[in-house]
Amino acid sequence: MKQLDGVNGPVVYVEVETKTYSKYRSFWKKLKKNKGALVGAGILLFFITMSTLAPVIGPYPVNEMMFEDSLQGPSAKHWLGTDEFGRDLYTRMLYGGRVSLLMGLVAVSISGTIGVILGVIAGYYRRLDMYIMQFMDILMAFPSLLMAIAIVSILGVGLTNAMIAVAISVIPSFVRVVRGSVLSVRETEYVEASRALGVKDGKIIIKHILPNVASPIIVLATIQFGSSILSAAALSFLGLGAQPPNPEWGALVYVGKSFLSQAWWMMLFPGLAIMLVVLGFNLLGDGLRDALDPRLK
Amino acid sequence: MSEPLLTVDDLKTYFPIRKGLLKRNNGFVKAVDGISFQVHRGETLGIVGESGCGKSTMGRSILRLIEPSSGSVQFEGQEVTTLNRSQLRKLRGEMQIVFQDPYASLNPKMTVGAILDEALSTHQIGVNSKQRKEMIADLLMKVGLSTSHIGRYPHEFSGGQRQRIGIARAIAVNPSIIIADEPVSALDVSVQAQILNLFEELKDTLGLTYIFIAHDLSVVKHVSDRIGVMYLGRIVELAEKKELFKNPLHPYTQALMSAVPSLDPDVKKERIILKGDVPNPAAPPSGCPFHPRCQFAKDVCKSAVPKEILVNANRSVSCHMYDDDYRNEF
Repeated sequence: MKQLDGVNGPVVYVEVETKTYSKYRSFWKKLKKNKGALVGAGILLFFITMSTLAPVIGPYPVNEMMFEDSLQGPSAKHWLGTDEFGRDLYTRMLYGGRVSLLMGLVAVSISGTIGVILGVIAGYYRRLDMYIMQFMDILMAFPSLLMAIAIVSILGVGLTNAMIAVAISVIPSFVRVVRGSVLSVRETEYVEASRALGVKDGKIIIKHILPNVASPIIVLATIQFGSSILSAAALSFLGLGAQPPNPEWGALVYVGKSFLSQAWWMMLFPGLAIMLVVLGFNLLGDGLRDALDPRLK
Repeated sequence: MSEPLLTVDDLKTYFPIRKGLLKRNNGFVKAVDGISFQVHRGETLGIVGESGCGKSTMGRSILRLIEPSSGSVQFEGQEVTTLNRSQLRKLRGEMQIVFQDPYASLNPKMTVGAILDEALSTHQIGVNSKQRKEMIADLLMKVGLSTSHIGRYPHEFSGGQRQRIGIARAIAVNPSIIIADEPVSALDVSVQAQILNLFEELKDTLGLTYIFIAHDLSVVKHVSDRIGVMYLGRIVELAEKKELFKNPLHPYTQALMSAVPSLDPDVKKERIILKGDVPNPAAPPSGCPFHPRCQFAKDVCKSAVPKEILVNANRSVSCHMYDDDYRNEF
């Protein structure tokens, strides 16, 4: 129904259309219309499937060395070539994807959850703001890789600890972004209206604050996913993350670097994989952000 | 006269100015500086004043959306300023607010139905969601929208329609008093009239009481029974609407009235042009806050703060010109 404003007469209602909205249906509809998001989701789905099926589709055992085939370029026998020990790069990338994707996912989930909680507390309940933010500033003062190294050296070397270290080093950026957004949303009149109605703080945070700070969080999460994979790769390279001979994309890139002049494929393919996954996440993240905004059709 | 519904007594809201590294207190912005008035059931009290004079802060302080610094607010004899959080939450159903900007006062991510349902469920109105849905439909009809709007988002509405949603949210909890904080100043003039009429209509059907804050004299004149004129955090004159427009007493009110354009081109009114701007509320002038801009100001105005003088039972003014102690100086 559409209301025609009647200035000098009765208000007139005209039946124009009756829309029934389902929040989730319109979300999917919008996401499906977004080509970028579909491409992103496709890329991610491809890498996730490949890594999951690594033992099934990998043509060689992951750590089998075939010295007669060392530093071979891409061929029918070794699709993506081999490394200096003659290990099949394609197989190693399938397995490495498991580690890298998991690393990124776990690090972003941990840091995102903690970061959002701390950010909301700092931004909404201003009493703790100063303490939380000063602590975050201290964390931010260290280069994130340096801090991750420090944390790993405290917790001990290993994949799990590397994930935790990367997660901790990413938390401050989440807290900063969330706190800033919460600060602006909590001053809006619709939050004030809810307070005037007597809505409890927890409900205000869940129903008003979080939905309206979701966009920057999603964008940041997609960006941090990529950089987490890179940080994890750097840790692996330093011998603090994935331990040789276990493959990991970042480790593969760093090893490949030393053979760049003889074997370009050793660095190119893992690097390409990282790039594509990060791109996929960014595309999907943009799509999610738009689909969650009812103002965009 | 019957017991007042709302009594505000010497309400003060000061904002500390913190500066420097140690966040030391460098004085206060006296946004609301000692306001007293009463509102009776079923009446509309209009509050006018320039921007920055503390109108909105006063409204929010009464509701404790901003905590007042001192003073008392009594609703039906119950002191509001000392209530704890859960008591206050219950009282929120009795006192509601309609905001100025209909674009900022509705959550863009919630449907109209969800916005109104929040109001109802917070105060346990309606036993289940089905019953609440019927009530929401009823509310939308009351404010001149249609039930099919229930699933729409705020951005799909015009400014006037959004303000209707804001009004529906305020009346959803069956309040006794609504503080309308410049509810039409963000709207087109044609839509303003519709919203004002809606306010009047709801007042009659629901027996509401309004505190109607505005800076537009014609709007206030249209809706109010009594009008309070605010200047720099104080009410300088409070009177019945007719009396105030016919015979403004305070020099500031006189200046405001002289600015209202006349419909009759032959009537030549004397325009009182105020000099300067509203003073900085962080450093208000000594004595009467209006004295730097007042055409009648005498020495006494620079030193002594004027008392509230009761001209008659329904009329008060804060000006030395009407004070018996100083009258002979003017």
